[in-house]
Amino acid sequence: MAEELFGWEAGAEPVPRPSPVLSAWRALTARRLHALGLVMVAGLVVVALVGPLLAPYNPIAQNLADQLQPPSARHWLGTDQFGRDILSRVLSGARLALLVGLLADAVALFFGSLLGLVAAFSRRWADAVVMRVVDMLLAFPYLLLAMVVIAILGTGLTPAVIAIGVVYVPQFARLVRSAALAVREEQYVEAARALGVSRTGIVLRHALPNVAPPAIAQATLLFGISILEVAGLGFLGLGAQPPTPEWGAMLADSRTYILTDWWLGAFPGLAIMISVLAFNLLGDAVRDAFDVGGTSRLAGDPRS
Amino acid sequence: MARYVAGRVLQAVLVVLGVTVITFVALHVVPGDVAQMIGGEKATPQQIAEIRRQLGLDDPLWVQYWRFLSSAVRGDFGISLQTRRPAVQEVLTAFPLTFELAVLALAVAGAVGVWLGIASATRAGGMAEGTAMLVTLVGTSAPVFWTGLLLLLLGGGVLRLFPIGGVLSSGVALDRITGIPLLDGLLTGNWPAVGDVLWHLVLPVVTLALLPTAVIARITRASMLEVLRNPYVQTARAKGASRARVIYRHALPNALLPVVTTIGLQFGTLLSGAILTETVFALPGLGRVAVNAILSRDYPVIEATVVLTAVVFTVINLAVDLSYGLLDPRQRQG
Repeated sequence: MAEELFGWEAGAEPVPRPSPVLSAWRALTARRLHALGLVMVAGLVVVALVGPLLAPYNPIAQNLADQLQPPSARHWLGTDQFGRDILSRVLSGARLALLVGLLADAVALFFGSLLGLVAAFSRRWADAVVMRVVDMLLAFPYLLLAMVVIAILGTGLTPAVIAIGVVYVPQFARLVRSAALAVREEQYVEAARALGVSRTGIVLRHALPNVAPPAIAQATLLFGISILEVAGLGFLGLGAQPPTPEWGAMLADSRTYILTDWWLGAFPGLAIMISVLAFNLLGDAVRDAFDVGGTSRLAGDPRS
Repeated sequence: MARYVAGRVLQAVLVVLGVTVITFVALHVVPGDVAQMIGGEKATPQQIAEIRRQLGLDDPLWVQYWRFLSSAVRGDFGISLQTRRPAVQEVLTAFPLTFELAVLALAVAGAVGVWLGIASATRAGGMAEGTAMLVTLVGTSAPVFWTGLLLLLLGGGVLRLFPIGGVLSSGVALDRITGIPLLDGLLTGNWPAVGDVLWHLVLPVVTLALLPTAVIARITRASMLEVLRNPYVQTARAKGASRARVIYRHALPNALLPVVTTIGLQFGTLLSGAILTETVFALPGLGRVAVNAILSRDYPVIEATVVLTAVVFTVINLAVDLSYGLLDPRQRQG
């Protein structure tokens, strides 16, 4: 059979081995994407820090004379149904989004790591109990689990952040537990134990530094996803409440106007997409840098 | 095989039991005084005590849990505080629509994702690879509620090709049998309604399918590349099997194993996405019921939603695991 017919038949590899130039270019673009992620995140951080200063208008001040204006020189991204400047609201939303991602991530990282370490370093039955609870939490579709938390705490931005944090606790618990179990079997840990170092000492001095890299890589990957999901709760009306310039809540507002005044919804959504993309790329870069393995966010579901 | 199935079923039952415990603790114990909420702010202490007695809130916790569980098994989650109808009925009315949306989106994502994955694995640098990259980029970064709004604007507003929401056009009649509009249309042979339902479903299904399509395409591609490297694929080619036969008969069945797992794992994400998509397209599904219940603190309905969804979710995971056993004989021993 002719090689031309089977593109992947040439050579020992079923896929044609790319030329050195091509593979070098691919490696470069892979790194370029990582670099792009870093630049985008840096840009977001700058916007989050100085955005409210750059905002040409007060993001929550209503100006009914100017309502539903299309993008123009005066209002670059137009105005909403209350005449509020959308550019100002999107810029102010950046600070909220980054804070939200950071806090949700912190909740998941802290409690997940705590559970994972406790499970790895306690008796068998305690480990089993913790991990079975973690399995049960994983049995909930994530939005439903977030809704349970919000049903308890009430609606609002803070409950939404806690809810999304809680959703990711099981993942961190599993990740940290398996990393910690590997450390526990190391000879130097055994030596430390023989020298009389307490369990807390071993956890703090030996386990923690070893579980930190995968946990941090995972946290970076989840940063963008937390932003996305807190915005989702805002969109459902369960997160940030009006007039907070939160991107998800802005999109909820825009639903009524989407067919006539597209700019209300277009820009907050774009802002979410850019932020999520930035942190996904950075997350991939961090994972590669720490060389902790696992699948790329772009290659698979983070919840898998 | 029987032992494997029995073990997995037992495990699933335990997970569902665990979910009821978590739900019970989270929504029965934590929220504070339910009696006060039912009685309202003007209720006298005597009235509150009476409500507490009626609801059995003074009994030990495990008695209360047992009561909760034994009624839940019979499908009794209490009466909705809002509509005064059985809570389970509220959920069962809305669930079929969400289920239909999720299943159709998964079917579309499975077909398109697997096809994109195969095409981009076997023809590097082609159109399929570019499409897969684009779908991945948008699917994993853009919020589903934003792509939904954009599709609505484009397909319903600018091009006027599709309806801008709802399940059926006004004037189209459809008898309710299962509550799943498409299935009801097919069962009653009501073809105009089937067409109308499908026409309404195009935009929501495309919206919801985007993310799982991306994920499935990536996994299929990676898995296919892996399998194509095997010696037995070389053997098949050496025997003179056609390209299509090598790909679809020899390589694909093995390449699909991780894909099936992924599809199963996608279901939770899909259910969550369905709730957001429904809100965009004004579909009266589970999302609306759940959000309304939370906003009005309608605990029986929240409990029914959570427990029933977790049951469905667990059953689907179980089915995926068992099909995995069918696909890969090695799994049955494990």
